[in-house]
Amino acid sequence: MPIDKYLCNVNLPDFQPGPFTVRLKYELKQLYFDKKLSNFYHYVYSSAILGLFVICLLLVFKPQTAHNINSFVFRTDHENALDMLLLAEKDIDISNLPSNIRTVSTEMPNSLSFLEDDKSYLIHKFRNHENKTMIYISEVKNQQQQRILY
Amino acid sequence: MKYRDNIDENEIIAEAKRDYQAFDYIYEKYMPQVFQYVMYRVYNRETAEDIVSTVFFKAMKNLNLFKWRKIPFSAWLYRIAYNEICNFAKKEKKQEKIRQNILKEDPESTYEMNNIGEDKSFRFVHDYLKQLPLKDQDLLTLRFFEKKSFTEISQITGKNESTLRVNVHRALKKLESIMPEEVLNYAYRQISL
Repeated sequence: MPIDKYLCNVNLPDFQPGPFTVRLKYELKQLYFDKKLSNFYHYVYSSAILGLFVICLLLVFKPQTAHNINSFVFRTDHENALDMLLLAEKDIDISNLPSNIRTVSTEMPNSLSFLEDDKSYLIHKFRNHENKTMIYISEVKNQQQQRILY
Repeated sequence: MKYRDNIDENEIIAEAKRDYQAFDYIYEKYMPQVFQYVMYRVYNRETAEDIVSTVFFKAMKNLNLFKWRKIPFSAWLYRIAYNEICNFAKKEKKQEKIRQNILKEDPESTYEMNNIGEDKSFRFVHDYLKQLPLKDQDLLTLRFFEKKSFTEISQITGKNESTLRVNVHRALKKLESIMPEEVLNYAYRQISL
């Protein structure tokens, strides 16, 4: 077919991309690193969501572990805080109390004298399974804030 | 440059997913080829630049999807370019309809030739070539302007070689039927000279 011979002999212009090569190269480079950065953030967000999910699960199934993690992460060290149980009623079974909880009788007026004025305390009032009133005092350990010097 | 021509292309592409330098090597190697092919098809520098940009953006985005199935990377790029040209042609067709309805102007007169180095012989053929269906335009461009073998065209289009031979023959017939007799005679005189 002569038409194919003609097409084979057409003088083809040589199209050079010119400065467009550099421009596109620069845009591609930007996109490449943006993509990498977005991939990195994708992993960070995924792991954060996974971590929160695990903590939520722990809150349901292992609250003590969740509390420990929370204490570790936010450095709320309550070990040295004062935890007290005010025995408002005499016949409360105190044999199952944890060792760090100190029991104080409300009948002894001097027993609360060691509470310091410059510290904060939380007072919880609740009823135990025998429907007896229990008052629980715990010390709030605020983290010291850095003073701003002017 | 870190990457040389004797390194296996498959390795470079695998590396390009992690290392920008490898992608840069691919870009430097294939960009002029793809640009040339797109220019032969659209014959307009601005449009070609838009299409080539899209081709490489898409290639970078979907590099992870490229799997080595004994088809060269260039064929994959050509395929993306072909799809982009088809998308462009569809858009252009819609716009052309709107333009014709509003301005009632001759489409030939709006054809941009200013930025391109004048080559009458190519321009002459291109004017008739663009009247063919897109697939035929693509086949003839790859076969006669890009000088690709049927094996290479088969890798790009995904069709088998014998089908392609038939398709090219038909496309040539169509082209011949579009061209007026005096134009054909002129073309044939050019061959004999």
